[in-house]
Amino acid sequence: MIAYKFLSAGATGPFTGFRWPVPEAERPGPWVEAADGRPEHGVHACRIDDLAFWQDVELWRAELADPVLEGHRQVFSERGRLLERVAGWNEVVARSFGEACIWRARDRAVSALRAAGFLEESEQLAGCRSLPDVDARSRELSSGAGLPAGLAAYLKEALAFLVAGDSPCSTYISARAAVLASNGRESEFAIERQGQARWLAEHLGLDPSRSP
Amino acid sequence: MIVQPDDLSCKELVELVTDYFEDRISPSVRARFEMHLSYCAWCRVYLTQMRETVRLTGRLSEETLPAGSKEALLNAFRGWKGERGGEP
Repeated sequence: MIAYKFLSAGATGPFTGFRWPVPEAERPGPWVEAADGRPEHGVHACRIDDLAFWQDVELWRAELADPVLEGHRQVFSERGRLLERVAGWNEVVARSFGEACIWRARDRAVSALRAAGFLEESEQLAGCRSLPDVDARSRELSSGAGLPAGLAAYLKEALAFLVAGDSPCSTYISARAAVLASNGRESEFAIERQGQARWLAEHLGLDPSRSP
Repeated sequence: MIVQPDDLSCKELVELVTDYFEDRISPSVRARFEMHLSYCAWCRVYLTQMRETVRLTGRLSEETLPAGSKEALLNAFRGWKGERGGEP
């Protein structure tokens, strides 16, 4: 199965510290196997829908050997190898991704506020044409109370983390905002994460048909 | 329908650190644990500090304690328990 794998700088596993052997001379990297033969201790990777949950510095296209098992927001197998680095994923794109997620959160906030009868606050956010605008409006609204303040606080925080260079945390906050915007429906978090993943797939040219 | 939160809070992660190190959590909880680390820089730092603490303290033995340190530590623990009304 073709899947995707986020790694830290230097093709390093973010949780294990394992240095992955990388492809050379246009040939896939060597197969890596679970040390104890247990698939859950083997190679973990993501489907496209899982991508937003596991962001890191490098993104790789990977191959997992059959049988591939399904885990929580991931797939895993006893053996896997790196095929190629997704060159389009870099700091600049990560920043653009974070920005896009904030706009998505802004749009959800506008709809939620309108539906809840906060028309003035909704219009204020809808009228924002730049992220500094969103930041200024969010700061004003977050000092108030109720739903407008709650949604604005998420936007303000997401922006603050993005400006600090922490795109993964920023996009997480944007996804959490979806829960508040939907009256606390927790399932909206995962739905928003999948929407974010579609942005990644589109902008990085990932082919969903090659990664179920 | 009750939907389980997709990941852990920082507090939950802290409570699970030992089990994570000792591989005593289910694959599903491990995934949530690591998913949290993917976006939470503070917990990544905490985990690194805990790993380092385990590594360093794992090298200590009673014999490596400087003279008087054992008594000083025991006294500190006795005092700490006494302040909270525990067993002396």
